[in-house]
Amino acid sequence: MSRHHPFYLAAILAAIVIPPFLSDYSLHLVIMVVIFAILTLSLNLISGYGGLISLGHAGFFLIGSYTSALLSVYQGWPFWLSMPTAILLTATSGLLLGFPALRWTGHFLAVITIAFGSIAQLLSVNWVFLTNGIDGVSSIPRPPLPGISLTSNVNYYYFVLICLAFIVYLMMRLVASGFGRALRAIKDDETAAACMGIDVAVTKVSAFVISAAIAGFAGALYAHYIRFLNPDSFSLDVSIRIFMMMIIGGTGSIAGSILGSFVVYVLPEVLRPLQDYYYLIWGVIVILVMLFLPGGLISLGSVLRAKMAARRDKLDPQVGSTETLS
Amino acid sequence: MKRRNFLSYLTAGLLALAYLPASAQEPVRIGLDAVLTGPGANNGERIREAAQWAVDLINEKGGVALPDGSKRPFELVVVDDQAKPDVGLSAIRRLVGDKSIVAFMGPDWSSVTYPTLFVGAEAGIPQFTSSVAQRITQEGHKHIFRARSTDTDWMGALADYLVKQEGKKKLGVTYANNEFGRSGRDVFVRILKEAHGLDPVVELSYAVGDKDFTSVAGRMIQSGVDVVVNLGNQPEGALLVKDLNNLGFTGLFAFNSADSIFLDLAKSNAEGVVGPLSWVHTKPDDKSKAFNEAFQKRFKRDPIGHSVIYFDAVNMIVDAIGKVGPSREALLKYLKSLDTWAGVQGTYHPSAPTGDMIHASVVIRYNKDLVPEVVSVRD
Amino acid sequence: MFFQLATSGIATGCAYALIALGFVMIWNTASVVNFAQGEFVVIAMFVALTCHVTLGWPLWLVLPIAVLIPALVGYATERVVIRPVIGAAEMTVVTVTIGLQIVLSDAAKIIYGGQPYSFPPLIEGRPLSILGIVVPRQSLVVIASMVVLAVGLHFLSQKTSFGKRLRAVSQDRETAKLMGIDVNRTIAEGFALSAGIAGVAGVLLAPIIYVSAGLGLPLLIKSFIAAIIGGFGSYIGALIGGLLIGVLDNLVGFYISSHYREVFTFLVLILVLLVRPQGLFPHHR
Repeated sequence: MSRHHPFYLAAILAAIVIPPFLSDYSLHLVIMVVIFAILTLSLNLISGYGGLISLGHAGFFLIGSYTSALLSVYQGWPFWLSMPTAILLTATSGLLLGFPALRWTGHFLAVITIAFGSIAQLLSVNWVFLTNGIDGVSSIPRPPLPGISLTSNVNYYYFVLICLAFIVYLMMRLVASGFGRALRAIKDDETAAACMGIDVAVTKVSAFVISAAIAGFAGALYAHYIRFLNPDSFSLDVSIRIFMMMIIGGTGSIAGSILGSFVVYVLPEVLRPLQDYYYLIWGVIVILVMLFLPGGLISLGSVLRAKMAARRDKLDPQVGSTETLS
Repeated sequence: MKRRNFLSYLTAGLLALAYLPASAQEPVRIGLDAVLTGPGANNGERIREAAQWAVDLINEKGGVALPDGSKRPFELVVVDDQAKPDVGLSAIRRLVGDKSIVAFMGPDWSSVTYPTLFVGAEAGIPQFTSSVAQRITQEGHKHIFRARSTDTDWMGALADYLVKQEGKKKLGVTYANNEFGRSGRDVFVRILKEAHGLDPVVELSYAVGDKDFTSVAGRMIQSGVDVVVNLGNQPEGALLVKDLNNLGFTGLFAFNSADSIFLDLAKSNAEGVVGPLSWVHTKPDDKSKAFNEAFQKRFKRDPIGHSVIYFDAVNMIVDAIGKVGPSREALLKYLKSLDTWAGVQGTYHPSAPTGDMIHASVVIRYNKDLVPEVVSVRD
Repeated sequence: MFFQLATSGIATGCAYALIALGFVMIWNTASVVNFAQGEFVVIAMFVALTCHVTLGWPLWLVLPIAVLIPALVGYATERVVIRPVIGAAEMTVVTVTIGLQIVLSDAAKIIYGGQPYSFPPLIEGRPLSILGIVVPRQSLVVIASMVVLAVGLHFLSQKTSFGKRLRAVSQDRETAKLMGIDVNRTIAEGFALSAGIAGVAGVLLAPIIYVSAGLGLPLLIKSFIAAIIGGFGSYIGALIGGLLIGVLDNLVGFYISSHYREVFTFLVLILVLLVRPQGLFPHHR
């Protein structure tokens, strides 16, 4: 970890310093990257650390977005009330989905979560009385903040960046806690974990609840940024996209989720001539990562260094061994 | 299909490199946002080809003329919204963020146009859309121009034809559960009530992507309707009419996307299908005939309504640039003061306060040779 | 009307059933859940479209090619990307097949664009009327093909040496290896076979629904649900589950609500998982 510090520091500095100088369009991209990073982190908690596949995170994202948007547009609630309500509601839906996760893992869970995401989207289309259906919800206000106007996109960027920082902090604490260790133990071997006295059921369900809550939070941030919602933005595509971000960035790595969101969201926009091909390219990268780089792009540096060190060892056995693998 | 695009990018790129020293002249750019991937990509491809063709024709004549008589190369910048609002927002921000783009066309899907309207409005850039949903021009935006007759025009023409010309009274309505289908349904049902005092006997919706329409067709036949009015996109319309015919439905099938894409899919099932269109290649006036001929020569097939809409839009922008030069503000101001402009589709009124420039529409009916015969024209 | 709806649902259901069958076959032999199974259907459709509609080749030549090519693609993908992950954590395997799904469906999209194409019926002629039920000829072709294929597969698995190897590997890979069976080869061949079955589904579906690049994933999800409802791992369960989903879809659309028919499919899935998690026809290994 320690040898990465300069790199992380530079990334954080760049995230703070550069955005005010970006064009409207680039600023929009980085705001979306930050929101997607939060979403990817939420998936990483259950998939990366818990080993539970979810292809339904767009459903949590949807519930969070719609709850906060509907409450603020039709009930006039301020963001600071509608957002926590959104989190509460998504957490509840996470609880509901957590129970099937007790019984089924792997592909069964993948289908159940697909079903969950699809049902959420279909209901948002069909429950016109609640969601306004296909017409969507418009004029969603930006969050009020005394002294600072969040209608400016630069300010909103810093707002979501602070939210991301908070989620990263939360995730680091969670992962390092007993809960995080229990989750990883279950991922490695559920039976062994149970024998060690870990309450598998409670751990799994809590992971789902926390993950859903974070995704709901991302949804609220999205709704109040984009200011218009309709069911089209919450299809299975979105769940798969988040999943790709997690895998490509690095499963089970916080920095990996952020890197993955950045790469998957921004690269296609930069490489416009490749636009027709980018989904294909991501698909290939997902497979390559799974076959050759299970730690994702974030592990690329250390893997290469290890390879180079190994080669140096071979060439010059006298120097080797002590300084490598530090 | 896409491979050719890549090749054309490549050749365009190489050509651009070759000409770089000769014409260091900055081109005049206009933008186009269309659906180039996903379920709506068929329309999107047609839109891109028509707009690109119009731009190419201008360049063949030496480029776009400026008020001082000089000419500059003309360039179309194309972005893809995948028919999704959030992708569309990125795409349109990209177009609008490029200050060298003086006007842009699109989106085509109302569900993308509506939530992204504010981007163009804030930038004060002229935007030409082919979306039909009514509310797009009801929000008081000053930069939006609709280059296509709306739901209201179409449904008025269709209801008149069905009720007055055909004398039908028992109408059933089916619609796709998307913006296009729903807004079409709302307008049709309202006009049917207001103009003819009728209510649909039965109404059913279906999802975009549905494959088996036996249940919808069955419900329609069971309720004994004379006409099924379907409001939605081409693939579902084609599947529905096939299932209706299979189950022995003998009434009329009226469809608001009964264009050549629909015909390609429905084949012989399209016989007797009635539909309102903004424009059709069999429209009997001279301008339409000339356009049709040129298009046939270039693409070896019939143009669709969208071909004309975007062809006209490019030419309207070119004419405006010739009057006031390539600047967003000047173009917007000029267009808003322009009372009439004659295009292939009919007469446009860019100065209309809402931005609804044109109300021309036709109702067609496919004969037994599957040629769309024009059965009623409105201007 | 009930029987009309059911008949038409059976035709679509047959296609789900075939896809589910191939899907279960891969699961049984290699313990791989293949999210790319629907893409083999799409490959077959586009091969048939290109050869028959664009190049004008006759159907008797086109149909075998359209089944063979997905089978070859299935064989190749097993060799290149699936084999290295067989036996790895399920998350890894699922991720690889999701990646494969993205690659294959997007390749189709790049080559053919996103628009639907129509494919001519395999048999010309007006729909037949049997006991007052309208049956399009195409539906009869689908139903007949499924019956023939199911019988053929049963014969293949019981009587041929390939079938026996396949069953041995499904039951226990380690024991099969000890018995001298080339497990890797059997798995690759099983992949090819299951992709070929998906190819048959594609050829049968092409005239009924339009051919387009985005079809794979929705078809896969429906078939996946069919396989789970039938009892994951059971062939007969996959077939019946598929038919059930097809029929249910139509009945719900007619009697309950066309709005909610998708929702109902998912609700049935959840209901089955809650009440009878082993499925309707549990698989005994």
